[in-house]
Amino acid sequence: MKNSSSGRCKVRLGNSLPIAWVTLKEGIREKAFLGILILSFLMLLASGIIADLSIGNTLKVTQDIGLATVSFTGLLLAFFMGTHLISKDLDKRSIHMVLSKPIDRGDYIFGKYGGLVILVGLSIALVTLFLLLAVFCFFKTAHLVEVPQIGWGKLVLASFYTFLEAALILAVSIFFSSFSSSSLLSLFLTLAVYIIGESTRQVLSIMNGPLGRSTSPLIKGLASIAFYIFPDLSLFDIKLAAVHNLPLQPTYLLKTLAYGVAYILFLLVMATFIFRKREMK
Amino acid sequence: MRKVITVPSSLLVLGGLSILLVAQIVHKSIPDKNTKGFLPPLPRKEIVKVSSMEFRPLLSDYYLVKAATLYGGNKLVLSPMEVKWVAKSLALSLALDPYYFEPYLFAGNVLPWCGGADLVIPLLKEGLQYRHDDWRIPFYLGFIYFYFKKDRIRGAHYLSLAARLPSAPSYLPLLATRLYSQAGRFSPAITYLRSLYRNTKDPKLKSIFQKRLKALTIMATLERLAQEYKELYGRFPGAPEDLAKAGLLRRVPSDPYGGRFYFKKDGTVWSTSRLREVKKR
Repeated sequence: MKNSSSGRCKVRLGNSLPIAWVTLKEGIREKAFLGILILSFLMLLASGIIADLSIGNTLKVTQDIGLATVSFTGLLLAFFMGTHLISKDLDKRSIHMVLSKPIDRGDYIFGKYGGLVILVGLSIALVTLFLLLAVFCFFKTAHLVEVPQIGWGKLVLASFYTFLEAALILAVSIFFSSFSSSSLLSLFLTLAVYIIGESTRQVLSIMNGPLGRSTSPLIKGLASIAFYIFPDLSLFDIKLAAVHNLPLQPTYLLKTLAYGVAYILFLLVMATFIFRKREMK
Repeated sequence: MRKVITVPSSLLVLGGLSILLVAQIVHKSIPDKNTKGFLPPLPRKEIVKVSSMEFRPLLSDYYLVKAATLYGGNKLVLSPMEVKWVAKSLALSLALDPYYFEPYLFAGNVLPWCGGADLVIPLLKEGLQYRHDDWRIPFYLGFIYFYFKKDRIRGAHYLSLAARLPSAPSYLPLLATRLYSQAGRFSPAITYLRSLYRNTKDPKLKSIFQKRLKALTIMATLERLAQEYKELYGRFPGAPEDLAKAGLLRRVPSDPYGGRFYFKKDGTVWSTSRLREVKKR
């Protein structure tokens, strides 16, 4: 079945918003969402005990665990919700009900994405709030010889960039879901993009070092191609700067933000294009 | 009918219990794992850097905790193999988060005492690039070179580096110059003290530096004259008085610290005060 409105090619906010709202409600009702949130809070609670195992600045360890929890929450939600919710619509044929209305397939893609981004954003905001509370509690109660300076603003900024990364992975998962009928396949493809996107910069820097002399030019070439094709997710990782309160260049932050938004838009436009061509069973 | 259902069910339960019993007997007979002395292999730095992706700071904490627990678990004694293992674990921790101070603290204060000075020096030198405002890292390096490597010149060099950094203790400049003097290297000590004297506004510190500068200038002159004396007489002088008798010195200089200058067998000069204030009786 092809959507009757596919020829018009217009994405309207008015049409996308109700889909986003329904997706958000649907996502909140998912058991996986609740499970991921409970797991995240347990990790944050455990951070105090784990931090005590370390030496010296235990607050640094608390912040590390907290920011890792924020990443963990964002990534899990992006991986599972992004791939699961579209496939569910296709499997249960509920998509036919949506597309039978005067709604463009692009509205559906943008609406789904919008709802999921809000869901991930709210979850990350909630976990960040708990992270700040945990750090504040340990800051007040920890007995440290040297009290470190906590970059509260940078912790929030690191969470925001983790959200941006999760939003990008969500766009990747929507892109794969637009042509794949299996949620498992979309999940694996998204996971592969995440692993490549996170590691190519590091791989390239190693290849440019002394170890790179023994690497074949073919591998080097492939790594360079991968670096330009796949999103460079390592850019969004500013956790080290946040935890050590290191200076962050505003130009770096702005360019990374622009890069993330551009990549998301590109993926959503491509997903819309592919989804419009897709035959519905 | 009831009997027919009960018999197989009872047999099933009995069978299950028998299997459990056998499993427990086998479990009892398994010898304890001899974990003492077992050091799990550590991966290569490059592999860890790539595979840890955005969880680098968290993994850095993990490797520090591993190193600290091995040291603590061994009642603060490490075998040569364990020293190597701990050094590698700390190197991994720092490769993942080079701004983290605690691995430097652990490396600088624990491993040299267990015979790992050579393993620690590269870690601390790398730390100078990242924590360039932290006086403690060059201080540890200076101490290791001076105490464990018996290299006073390098020891003095790193101590003078530490002394220039903000919040360094006030005793460091004088300690560095003393090391230079003990190594018979007056020229770097004098240059260093002159720069300190110029940059210091505190009158008390200025007078301390001036006194040390005066003593070192005298010692440098005496050492130069001792070389001239050797060219004339074929041997080094025993005391500054010998230089005065030979007409190389108009009058015997006095040590500003209240001691007496003398020559060692190799012609280097030193003072009975050891460049510390001599208490008058």
